[in-house]
Amino acid sequence: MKFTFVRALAALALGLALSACGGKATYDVSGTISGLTNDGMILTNNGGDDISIPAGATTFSFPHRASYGDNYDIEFKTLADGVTLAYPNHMTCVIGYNKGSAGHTININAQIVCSQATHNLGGTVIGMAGCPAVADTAPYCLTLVNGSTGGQISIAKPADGSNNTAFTFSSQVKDGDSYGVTVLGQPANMTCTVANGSGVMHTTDVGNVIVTCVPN
Amino acid sequence: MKSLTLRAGLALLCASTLAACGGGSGSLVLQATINSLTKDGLILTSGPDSVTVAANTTVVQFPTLVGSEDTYDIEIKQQPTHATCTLVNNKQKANVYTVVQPVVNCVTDSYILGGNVSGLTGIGLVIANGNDQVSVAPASPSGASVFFKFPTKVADGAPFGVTILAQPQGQTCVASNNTGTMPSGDALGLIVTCH
Repeated sequence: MKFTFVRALAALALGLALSACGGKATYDVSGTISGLTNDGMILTNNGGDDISIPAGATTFSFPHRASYGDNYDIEFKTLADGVTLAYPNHMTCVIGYNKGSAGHTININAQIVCSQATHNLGGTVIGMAGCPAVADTAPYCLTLVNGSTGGQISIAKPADGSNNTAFTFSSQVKDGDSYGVTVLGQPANMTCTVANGSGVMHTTDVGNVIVTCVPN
Repeated sequence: MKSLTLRAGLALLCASTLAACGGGSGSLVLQATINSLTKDGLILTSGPDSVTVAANTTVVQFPTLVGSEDTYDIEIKQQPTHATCTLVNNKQKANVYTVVQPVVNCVTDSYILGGNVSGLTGIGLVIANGNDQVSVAPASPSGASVFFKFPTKVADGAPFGVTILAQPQGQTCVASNNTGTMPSGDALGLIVTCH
């Protein structure tokens, strides 16, 4: 807190000194980036002054500098659909220290951290009506697994007696990683088989894994 | 002046008396944080204590209290079966901060997952265990059984589930015996049959 105050004071002093000379202090609108392994990121300052950031970049700087007292607001550009942000391909990023008034701190240094995007993996189990009731044998009807490190999910017979139930693994799958769903634990007296169980995760959730259980 | 010297001397005496007593009558609970312990058999020692740590334990507290400024020393008397643990911050001077700093990091042994593909004549077969993949090319002579193994070993006790990620040209392959729990040794019984 004290340090911020001192820095603000120093910046103010600098600003005053320069304005006394007839000029006005300007500031580089810049920042640092970590984890950027793909192209596609576009940044804006106050909704304009777009800059495209290539894969591997660790710093960025907007073409226009900010004058002392100008507000800056560095964001990911919103694409034409009005919703999607211009993250790097297959990645998501977070940004901090990205808004303020130029001169409040000695320099403008936004921080961006990017990581591979992840998406949900799930689908539907058909034939749940044939499962043993939760209160009977085991609490779960069947257990699905996504390889050795993709997590597992145990599915109980629906309380409302419906025959189909949707599932989603709690572990998300990284964009570009493969997945493969198999039945690790079969229900008593039934056999479940998996369709659409294997593929590569792309840019949207996968929800089309179909597990069909039939009595033995 | 004399009184001051006397008091200083008394304080010194007190301090040395307490230090001498430091051994047995401590007041601090010494504990260790345990990470990723999936197997039984770990035994930790600290001074006179010997504590058996069960699988999935996350914190161990030693029964004997330690005194402030005593040096504690946690050691591994026995490793878990099929896992290896290492110690961090296990030997320090005790105070209210350091007695909660010891950490035991455990890594479960891992083993090879693999099997055989029969009847393979086309190129392009990719087999997956979740996000781990292996490409398998036809043998010479074409169609002969081909051994494969995944690049990443699987931890003892972890699940595995193997699927066909990409079918070979002109053929359809099916995986069987393809899901289960990793044993304490290589699992090389996966079967992929191509027609």
